[in-house]
Amino acid sequence: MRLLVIEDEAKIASLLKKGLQEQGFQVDISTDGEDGLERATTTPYDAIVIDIMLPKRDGLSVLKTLRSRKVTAPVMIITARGDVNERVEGLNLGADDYMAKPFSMDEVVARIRALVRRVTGETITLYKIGDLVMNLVTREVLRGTRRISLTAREFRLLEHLMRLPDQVVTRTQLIERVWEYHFDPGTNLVDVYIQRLRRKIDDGEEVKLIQTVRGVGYCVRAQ
Amino acid sequence: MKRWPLRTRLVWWTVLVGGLSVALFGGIVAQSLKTKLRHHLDTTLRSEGESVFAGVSELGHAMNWNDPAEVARLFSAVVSLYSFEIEQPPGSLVYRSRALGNLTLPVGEDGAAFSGTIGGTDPARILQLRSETMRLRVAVDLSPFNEWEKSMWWTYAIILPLTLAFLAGGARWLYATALKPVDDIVAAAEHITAERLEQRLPVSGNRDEIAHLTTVLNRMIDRLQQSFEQARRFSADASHELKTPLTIIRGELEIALRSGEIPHGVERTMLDLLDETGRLIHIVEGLLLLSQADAGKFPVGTEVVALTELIEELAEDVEILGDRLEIGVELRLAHSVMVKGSPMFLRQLVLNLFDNAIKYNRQSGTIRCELTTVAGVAVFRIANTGEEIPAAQRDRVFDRFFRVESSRARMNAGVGGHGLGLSIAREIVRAHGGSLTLESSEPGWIVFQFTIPLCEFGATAPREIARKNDDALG
Repeated sequence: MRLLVIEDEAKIASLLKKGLQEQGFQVDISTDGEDGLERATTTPYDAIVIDIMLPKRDGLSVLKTLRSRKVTAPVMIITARGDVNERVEGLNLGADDYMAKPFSMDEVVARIRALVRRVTGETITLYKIGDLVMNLVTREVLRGTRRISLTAREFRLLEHLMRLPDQVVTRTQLIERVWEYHFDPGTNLVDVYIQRLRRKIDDGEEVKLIQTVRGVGYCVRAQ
Repeated sequence: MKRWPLRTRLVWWTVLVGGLSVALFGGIVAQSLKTKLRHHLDTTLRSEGESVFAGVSELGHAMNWNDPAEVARLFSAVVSLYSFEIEQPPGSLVYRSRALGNLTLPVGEDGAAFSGTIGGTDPARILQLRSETMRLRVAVDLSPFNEWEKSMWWTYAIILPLTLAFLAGGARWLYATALKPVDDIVAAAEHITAERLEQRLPVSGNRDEIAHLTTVLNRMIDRLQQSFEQARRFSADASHELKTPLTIIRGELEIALRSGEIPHGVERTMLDLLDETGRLIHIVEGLLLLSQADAGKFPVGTEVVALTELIEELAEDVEILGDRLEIGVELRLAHSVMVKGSPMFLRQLVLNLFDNAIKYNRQSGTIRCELTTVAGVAVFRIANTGEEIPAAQRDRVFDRFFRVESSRARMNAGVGGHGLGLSIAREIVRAHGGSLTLESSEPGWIVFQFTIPLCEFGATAPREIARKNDDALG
């Protein structure tokens, strides 16, 4: 998997490179719009990350030109949060997703994976941890053979926990991603939902999958 | 007098000063006319008297007072205005003008005119001349003169109020015209607020004091605008500049945590740091949003948002959030209330208000929400039980980083918040064309209310409200 990151801020670029490389992507960095456009046109990338604020040629223009040159690689644009216009314009010009600064690396990785898969047709349809299976298409959740019915929000919460197996997700992160609250409404909201999820998934089971990590966050682990 | 507007005071002063001037002028003119006239009367009185006196003295023979022809000759040069009494010798009356009839002239000192009366009634000016053999009194009736004087005063009495009325009217018009630019400045100045500092006062074409004042004021607004913009830019730039380092801190923490090579003791710390970074990001985003609002560039969307459903959905979370304090939530929401805007910001708005209602609530308290529509406007009223906000702090609740001092809020400090919630809420409502206010209400309740204009099709779009139960207890 080869990615192009067009980002002029060296620190952000190297963060993206580091984070994505760790996930097995091969990452090229371009630091201005002209160079980025040139590379994106000549090299077949699996996905392209474009910052909107770029020297020489801005990100939206790069995106527009790429699409007019029939470059179909999925594009994620990086905007400043709150700039609704940029976001909408980006999506209209053919961007597949957007991230607002300051973004979360975990989120970027997860979304780029999804983008790449969407294109290769290899859509992720299942998450499986231990005997817990989550089907993203049919929205079925099975614990062994037991079918579990979840509310929409419970489903999204579980999805975010299973997306990053073995990894601790903090309450704040969950609030941001599952509830999309851009401020802190208190963490017992997450706790209450986790309790509900536990009751449905772990009650009566020998192996408890949803684990509290030292009062900081949660993770789904099969051990 | 100080309470009156300037133009009224000016009119009064003009009338006062003008009236005094006219009265003074009139009085002086009348008085000097009167003095002149009296002097003239005395002079003619003397010349008439002396001519008759001389006529009688120079006659050479004793005057025959019974001969009408001789008498007529004596008085031929005398105007009929003057009346005479002649005594020959003094003390023995030989002639009295026919006009006097049987009225007598008073006896006075010789040689100088004096004021007296004819027959004790009609005022007159009298002169008495005397020689060894003769005493003559000549009098002029002052009645016509007094009549004239009286009519002059009457004229003044009529003209003065008329003049004053004319003066008042003229002054009113003049000051209204002169102060019109001031009114224009006032009207324009009222529209210049911190958010609209790019406006200027209208400068009239005249090169007068007011134009000068306006120019000076405009220059002052220039400087104000500059410093406001500097502050605003600083806040926006600072928030913007913080984004990159925050992204890197968060990213690096996430990458490190994911690597699985972090010792347990350190992992905990790093997770805490990650959460704190998240909070910092919330604050920075809040500040950026506020500075955008200050610059009138709040990024409000134009989507149609179903406010009823949005509130219902959030209320479910609020019930959970309020659980710890056993706070009950009561909802009375009108169906199908649609507004135009940004769902993300409207969620934040409602959640900020809910958050506040929990934070400043009491144990086992209540949150009461009501959504209604009044005259094309959605009205959301949220009330919570709790310590009332002290009067002195009411105006400040929407200030940035302001927190109401209350024991409850400190107890609930764990609920979170950074003191920007209500400022952001107010800006969100403003950006949606409405207003957010802290209402005064019955004791023991804190009530906030916002109004947002309904989406134009909101009222005519009947939609079944399917209450989302998927997030309810299941």
